[in-house]
Amino acid sequence: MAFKIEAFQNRFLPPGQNRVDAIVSVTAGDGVGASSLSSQLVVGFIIDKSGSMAGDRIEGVKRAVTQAISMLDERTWFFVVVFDSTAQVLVRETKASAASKQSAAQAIHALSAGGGTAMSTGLAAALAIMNRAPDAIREAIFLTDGKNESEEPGHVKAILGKCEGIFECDCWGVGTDWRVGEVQEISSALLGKASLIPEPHGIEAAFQAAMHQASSKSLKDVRLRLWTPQGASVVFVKQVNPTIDEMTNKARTVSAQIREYNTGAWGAGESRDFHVAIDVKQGHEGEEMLSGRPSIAYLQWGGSGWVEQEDKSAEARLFASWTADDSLSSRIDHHVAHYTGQGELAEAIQQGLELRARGDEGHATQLLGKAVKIAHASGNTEMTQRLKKVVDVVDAAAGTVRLKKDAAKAATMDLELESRTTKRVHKK
Amino acid sequence: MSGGLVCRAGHASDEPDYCSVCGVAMGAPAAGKAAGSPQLAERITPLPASVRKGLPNTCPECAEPRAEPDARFCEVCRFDFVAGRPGPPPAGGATSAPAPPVPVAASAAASAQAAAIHFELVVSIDPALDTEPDPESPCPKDVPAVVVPVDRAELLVGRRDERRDIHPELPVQDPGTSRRHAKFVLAADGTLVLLDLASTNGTKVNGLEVPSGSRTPLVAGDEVCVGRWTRILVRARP
Repeated sequence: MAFKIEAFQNRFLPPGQNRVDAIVSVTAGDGVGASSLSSQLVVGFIIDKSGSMAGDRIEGVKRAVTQAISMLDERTWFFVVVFDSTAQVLVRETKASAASKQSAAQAIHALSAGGGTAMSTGLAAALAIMNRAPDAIREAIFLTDGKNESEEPGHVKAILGKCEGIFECDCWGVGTDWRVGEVQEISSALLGKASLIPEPHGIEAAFQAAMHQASSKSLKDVRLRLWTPQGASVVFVKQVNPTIDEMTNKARTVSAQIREYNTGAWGAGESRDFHVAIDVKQGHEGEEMLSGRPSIAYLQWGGSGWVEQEDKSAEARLFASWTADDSLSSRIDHHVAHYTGQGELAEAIQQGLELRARGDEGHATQLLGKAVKIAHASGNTEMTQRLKKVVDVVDAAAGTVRLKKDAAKAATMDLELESRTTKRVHKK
Repeated sequence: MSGGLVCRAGHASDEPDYCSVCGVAMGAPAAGKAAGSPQLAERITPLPASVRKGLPNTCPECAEPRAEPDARFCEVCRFDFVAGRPGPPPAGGATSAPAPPVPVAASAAASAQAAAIHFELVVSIDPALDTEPDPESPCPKDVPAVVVPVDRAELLVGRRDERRDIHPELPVQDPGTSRRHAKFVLAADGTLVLLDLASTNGTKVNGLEVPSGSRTPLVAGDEVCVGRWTRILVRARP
């Protein structure tokens, strides 16, 4: 079996209610890895070489890209695009043979920083190359250190529209002079993650981790497919683990009752959780119905091309069952409760940091305190550690905190970037 | 493939289990519906919340920690946390002992035993239920189904454990079941009732997980699944 799907919900609803909430947990089987041997992988580097990168940063990037390329399997294709206010293809797409790695290293070594920052140009150059490899799993790594100052903001949005569904992109910002929103716009449109690298020497480790992740991908266009009964409507679909990502608007209609949500490329053993909310037609007491049928469709390499697969054997079922018994209907499934809490945690952090930046310390303290409380209660120790760099925790359980007067900008940016990273449900 | 499936509401369904148009269950026996057989959710009697709370967390009899916060019985000595009294003696003696959890009249059970036996249970190992195969404990293959007549007041379903002296009347070879997993009980009025004994991995009736510690009256045609691969079909005895 390629995928395993599990659904967690309380199916019982009191009469008069029609909202079905469920967590759908999807895991790619270990068996899916075998196909990666014959499928193609293209890894693209999109690197900011603007003037602000001069010095340690550009040297760090040069080392990191060279190192990352040296790790690539010889069947993998790679390319390097650099940009300032315009883009330049530094290394054309090539198979990662020993010779091509060598010549790429030389080209990278000769790179020097200078110029402005126009992110859309780098994305456009990468897109042109990615478009030449329609059959490959296409992963990109984007790195910048500054604000997108040399172009209109609309340019990035326009080019992202063309890149969506073509390639995926994880983004990194070096230092603290870049804008979280600008970089996150790119990563979230391209199904990736945005992260902060505080010091240039951290670039190498980040790129190595990214290479491992990119090389593990073996299934393309993995889509969460959701059947709903006639008369039902999908209220929202979002990924809730490893990160919170709204997917409702990315729905593609397969048929009147089936929608699909693209989640990109997956590797063997990869696991993600989704929160699905459906409004069904009102039922009578004692009635039971199937309220949703989540399944997975994906492309698998079939030797000479990608083959559309639907894993029918691994589908889950969501139910709605109306009962007057409060002891049945009042329970909240603990998976749903957990991820609802993680969503509130992310929101409290984002709003809290925004208010703090605007100088509204009272409300910021209140919200970040709430965040500490949820992180503490849900066992999200990573988030608690991040919060502690921005606030002094007086009482974690009660959510009593004081804003740090001298919180480092890097800690604040890191907290904002990681606020959507959730903790998995603690298995009972 | 469709094969001309039509649901209760008259929709042509592509799916054999639930209607691909309206979501209503396809396999529900029409006869049961006509007789006004209530839906499963209606039949289940959960353990009242009032008794679930405020109970001790270790067994007052043998000091074994309570397996689950809402476990009704002690895993070791069978102490009944809800009734606050020791359970019936384990194994073998179960047939003659009064069952504390549900009002089963011993006389009715005895007469049921002597007189007509109305139900039988078909216990089978279904590898299809084993959705998470574990190479360490693979699902046994080609095991024939066993038919067990319901000829006594209680039939304990669970894993046999010599060490703890647990000998279920209906032993199952299934690592996913608890030692005392569930119980089939013949009520005084002759109905067959399934009692989940707050099992660790739960009990499903007709594909629906029943609440821990709940009781569910069964009718012929109902299917109970426990553990990783055990399917128990309730059948009227010919």
